[in-house]
Amino acid sequence: MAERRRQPTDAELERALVGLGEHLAYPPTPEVVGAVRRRLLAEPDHRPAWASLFAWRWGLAPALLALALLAVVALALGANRDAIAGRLGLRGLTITYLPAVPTVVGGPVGPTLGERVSLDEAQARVPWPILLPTLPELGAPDEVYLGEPQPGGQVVLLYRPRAGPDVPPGEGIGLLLTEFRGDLLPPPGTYGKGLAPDSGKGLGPGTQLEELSVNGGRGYWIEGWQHLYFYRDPAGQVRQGTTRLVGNVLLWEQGDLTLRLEAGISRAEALRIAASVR
Amino acid sequence: MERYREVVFRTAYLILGEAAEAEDATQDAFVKAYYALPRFRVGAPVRPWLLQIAANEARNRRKAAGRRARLALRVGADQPPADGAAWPEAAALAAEQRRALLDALVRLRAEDRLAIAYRYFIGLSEAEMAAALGCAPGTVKSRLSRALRRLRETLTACAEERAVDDGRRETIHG
Repeated sequence: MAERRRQPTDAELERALVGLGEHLAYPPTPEVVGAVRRRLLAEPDHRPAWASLFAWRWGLAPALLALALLAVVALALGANRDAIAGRLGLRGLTITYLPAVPTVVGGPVGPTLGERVSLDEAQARVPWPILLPTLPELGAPDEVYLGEPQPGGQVVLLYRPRAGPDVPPGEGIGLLLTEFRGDLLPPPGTYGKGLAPDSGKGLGPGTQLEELSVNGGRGYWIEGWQHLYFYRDPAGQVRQGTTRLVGNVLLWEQGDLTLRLEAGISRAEALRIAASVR
Repeated sequence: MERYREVVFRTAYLILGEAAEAEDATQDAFVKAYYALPRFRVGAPVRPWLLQIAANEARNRRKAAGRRARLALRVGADQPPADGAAWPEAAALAAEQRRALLDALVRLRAEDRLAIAYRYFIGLSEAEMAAALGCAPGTVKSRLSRALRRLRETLTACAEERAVDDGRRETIHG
């Protein structure tokens, strides 16, 4: 009669399973990104017109330049740019051409940014490590706001103008840095379809848009004529009281975050600040 | 998508046991996840949510194909000693044990195999397992415990089968 083997203990069995997992011969993981993107684009019922070219937020954007070209062609033809929907964007942020930007009633910007909190409180209430510019001349943010326009929350760091040879300390806004988890949001251009809120930039006539790389992530530099910040609620409506006209803007993706730096500064200076963000 | 491609594919492969089928299931899972994004609870972990979708896709494929064939999972070969020396007996024994364990594992029901794979191969936490298996967090331990008990029973059955086979060979050649 065959000798009955001793049963392994729970710990032995668990160790053996971990060892087996380490030795399993899996086939090489296939490249599926391109195939998935092609399938999504091939399903017309789900495709949101031009925006669908960029709808896949996990793989995104081999054709960003192509769409930019389309927008340029549309301009050359004198067509309505918004109707043609020259939509670009990053995770959770759409860039849209507008025929004009509205007049925005003046007033303090602070209340529109959300709830004012300390940096520590903001850190305790958002699920990601808040990134900060580390330039010594910028120092710590003067005010921190916690807003809810984005799923997962949104943090706005406000820096008052710094004193310098040409810059007197003032009550105005020197720089705004906004952070949110773009990876939790649906792709650009899908708002109004029952999806989560979407925020964006509406570019007026004469605004310059440049795609660039920031800290290794995709980004845009927006400069020139006034442009509009907006966000939409889940019903696709632009939320009142949150629009503002701002200075030049640098938008970029860094890790899971989408960041928006707004200030009346040059592209080089914005990139210098962005490079220090960590 | 790039971040989760491997774990989604491996989950599908553990259920289907065929690379081509697992690749199709992986594509299906990502497409379905895309359209399911509006229902994704913000703040919830992404990985178990994707794994649940991938496991459903793989199970549906296996069911649709009426699969009865054994899974083609296999254990990779150990690297031999670099100096050309003989393989240590312990290493050979460990490799044999892994093959025996895998033999038993592929005989389990897909649900049991998946619970074991999530915990010991992919390293999901209990909370992640609950999300990936679509069960209450309180039931993860009992599901895993049940799967391990069935694995033990199957291991014993496999060992007895091997003993009987060895006995037959001895009779024929003895």
